[in-house]
Amino acid sequence: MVQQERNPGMPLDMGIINAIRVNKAATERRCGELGTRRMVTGDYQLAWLMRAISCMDLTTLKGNDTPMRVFRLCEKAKMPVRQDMIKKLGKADLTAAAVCVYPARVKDAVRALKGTGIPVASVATGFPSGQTSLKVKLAEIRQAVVDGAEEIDVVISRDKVALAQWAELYDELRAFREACSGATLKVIMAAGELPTLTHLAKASMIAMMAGADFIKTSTGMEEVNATFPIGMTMVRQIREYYELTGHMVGFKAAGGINDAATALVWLSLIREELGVEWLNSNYFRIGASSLINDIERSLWVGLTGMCAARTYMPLA
Amino acid sequence: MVCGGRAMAERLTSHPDVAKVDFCGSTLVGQSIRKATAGTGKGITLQMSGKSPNIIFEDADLDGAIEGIMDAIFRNQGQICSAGSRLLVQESIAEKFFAKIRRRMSTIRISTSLDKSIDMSAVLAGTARIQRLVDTARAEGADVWQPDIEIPETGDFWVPTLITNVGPTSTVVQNEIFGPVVAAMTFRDAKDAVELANNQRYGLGSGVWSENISLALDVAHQIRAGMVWVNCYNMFDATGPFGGRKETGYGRQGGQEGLMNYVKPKWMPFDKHDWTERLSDFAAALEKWSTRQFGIIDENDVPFGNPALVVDKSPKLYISGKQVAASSNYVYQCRTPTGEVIGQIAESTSGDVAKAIDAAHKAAPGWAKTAPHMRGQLLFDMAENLSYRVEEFAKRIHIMTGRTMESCTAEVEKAIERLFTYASWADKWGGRVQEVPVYGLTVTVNDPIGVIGIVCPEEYPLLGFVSSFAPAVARGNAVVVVPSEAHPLSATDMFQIFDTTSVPAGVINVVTGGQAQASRVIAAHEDLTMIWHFGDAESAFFVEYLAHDNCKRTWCAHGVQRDWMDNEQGEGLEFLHESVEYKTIWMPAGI
Repeated sequence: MVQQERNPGMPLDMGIINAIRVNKAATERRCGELGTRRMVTGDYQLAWLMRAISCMDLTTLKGNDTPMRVFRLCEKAKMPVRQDMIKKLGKADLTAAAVCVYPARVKDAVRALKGTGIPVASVATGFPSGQTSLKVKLAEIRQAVVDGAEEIDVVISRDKVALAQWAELYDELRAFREACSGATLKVIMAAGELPTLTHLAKASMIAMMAGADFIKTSTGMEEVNATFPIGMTMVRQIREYYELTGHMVGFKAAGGINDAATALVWLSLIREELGVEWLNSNYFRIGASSLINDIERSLWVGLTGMCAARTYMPLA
Repeated sequence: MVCGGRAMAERLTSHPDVAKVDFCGSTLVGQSIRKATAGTGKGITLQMSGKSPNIIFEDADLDGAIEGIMDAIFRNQGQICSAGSRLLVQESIAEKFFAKIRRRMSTIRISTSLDKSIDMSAVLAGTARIQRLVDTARAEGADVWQPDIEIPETGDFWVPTLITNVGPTSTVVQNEIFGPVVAAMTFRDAKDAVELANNQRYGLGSGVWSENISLALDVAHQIRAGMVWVNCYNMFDATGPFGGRKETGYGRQGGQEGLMNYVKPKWMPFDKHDWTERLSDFAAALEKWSTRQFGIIDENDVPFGNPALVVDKSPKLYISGKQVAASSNYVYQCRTPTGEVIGQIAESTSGDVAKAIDAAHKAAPGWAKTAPHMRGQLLFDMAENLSYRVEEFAKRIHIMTGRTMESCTAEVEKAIERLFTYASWADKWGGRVQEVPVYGLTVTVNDPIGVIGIVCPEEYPLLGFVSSFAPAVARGNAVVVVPSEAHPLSATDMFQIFDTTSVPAGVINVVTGGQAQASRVIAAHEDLTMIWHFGDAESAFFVEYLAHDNCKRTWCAHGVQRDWMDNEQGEGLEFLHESVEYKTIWMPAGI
């Protein structure tokens, strides 16, 4: 696959932003049928599940995270599926896409993943609420990059969206992009805290204009996280941006994706709305922690026909 | 006493005059014994592999714990099924503790067993397998450390080995090595420790090191293993039962609990069965047994009752406290003895059964933690709610079976009495203090199993159903119940009783339909560790055979019908015994 050049962004175009309109009911209707029109079974399902794993950002964002907890997660990122199963599947090089941690844990993750090529993603900018000063947010990004993070997951200021301060939002995100320098910028919409899907669509477009490499649904800590209407809204904006500029921006769904069946519907959404070119870890991510175990159990069912015991799959 | 290898084992265990097999060894051989004895009616106890956690908390006597590690994994060369081969150390003391372990390992003396000054001797069956696993650990990036000590130049000796920098995904953490090799991980707190401890296929031993009694007991309760050694390891005595759960196997050796595996009720005949011809093409036989002809609804079918008033009786399934439609649209007819149709019974699919098992899993932890008294109260409540509807339930049985109203009323009243009986047992069968030679307290706790799959008898449509779920539920289990195939309406009538009694969602789940089909799904499901099967002998064969895959525990009737009205046959110690996993907790004490 030809590696596209990184999204350089573009100047803020309020004409485009003002023209964005999302009909919630119609969006929900389309989303309601998503899981029903494209059935993936048999060997194809095994392949799709492995693709989902390769797109996973294995995540731990807890107050009581310690170096050892991060180490354990990194081990799972290196070996996401149990050895005997991966042998049967014939995909020995399968790994997760990244490991996502708080800034204080970046060095631990970098050390644990040394030599594996798996990048460390750090949340930053006052994650999850973003209620801190711009100065502090930028310092946080820079420190994470210095510590070795190759990806930065930032949060937008939801207050700016609520108050329709679009230009301010654009400027802030542009500053984040600059602070990231070479690191991949993922912009978290915290969609569950935005007033409407139309607001979400506008904020998504602004993030891409400001130079986001990925736009991400949520922190995982809102009351409502990655639902299909939220995802559909964002993905449609990604398509708009691509048609406008020729640049591909990635999509990350985070929070509330707990089982393999849901993960498969997400892959199908991406495939249908954006295309197969987006269906890889360069342009699609799922942020999750316990999902990996459900996918592992589904792989087991696919391989053996047996429903696996929960405690048999190694903990993430 | 005879000697021999695998071939001898197979001959002995499958001999028709052998009534009971007690096996201790590898999981692979244990599984083949299960297959060879499936459906024969032989009693079987399996004690197989383990990967037992030895958990060291920061408030332990650390030097005491070091010696515990010696007992757990180095003495006896770690070649014991209950070896504490996964060391879990609290993060806060990890560095200090590993330094202590290394110091201690450097003082180990290894020589031949005739040397009188040794800690360790030769390993059984060679060192090749150990070597392979240790090499794999290195290849996966682990740190492998061995003390610089002498071992004899010839013979199968292995230097005690400590492996760190591993996680649950590592090969040496998941697999039994059966040698003096310990894989060590750290944990933050008790919750972490328990999660790591239980993240394994096996469930044999465990060690808990802490001077805090509240912590030690809480952790002991949550570990899913047959043995918990608190501030000690690998203590054994004939008075105390020994054994494991999950893929370690089932049954206990020692104690009164172990004796239960060697006895059967006096009234029960011991029928022998031979299924060798099924074994020759198992897959085909399995298909034949579990293939179901879906009945055609014949327009000439005569519905029971007044045609002008007939409303189709089409009970649903009962999953997670709700009545849900089966996912297939197939039904079969429930008929009176004279052929009139009294109901359309849903054919559960394998998906429905799996959903029910999932629902039971969700409910099981909460139900197990519910105060035993409250479990009893629920069953008393259920009995009371049933008592308001005796006539209706009796009439239903009468129409289904043609038995006299007197007999049917007696059945309903017996069901109420049985609910009373098990309500009373809910908080009066907690376990036993074992009088072992070690000073302190050694108790066997009668833990719930978790989720039990139950296939009901055909006889006594209500009483058989109640007698099946009540003991399991009283003892803290969640159940997935397959009612009588021919007469399921008494069971489906109970849905309303469950609702009125506010049975917590998922504690009781009922899936109607073909018993063979449902049995197959339950017996093969890897996240289920116990199945009760009150059906015929051939089905018992398939159930026990399929159970070999995850070493599922089974309790099969092998076609023996019970007189459920007779308390000697219909209730009691047998049922309680099959509702629990015995966990023996050793707590040496002293000031």
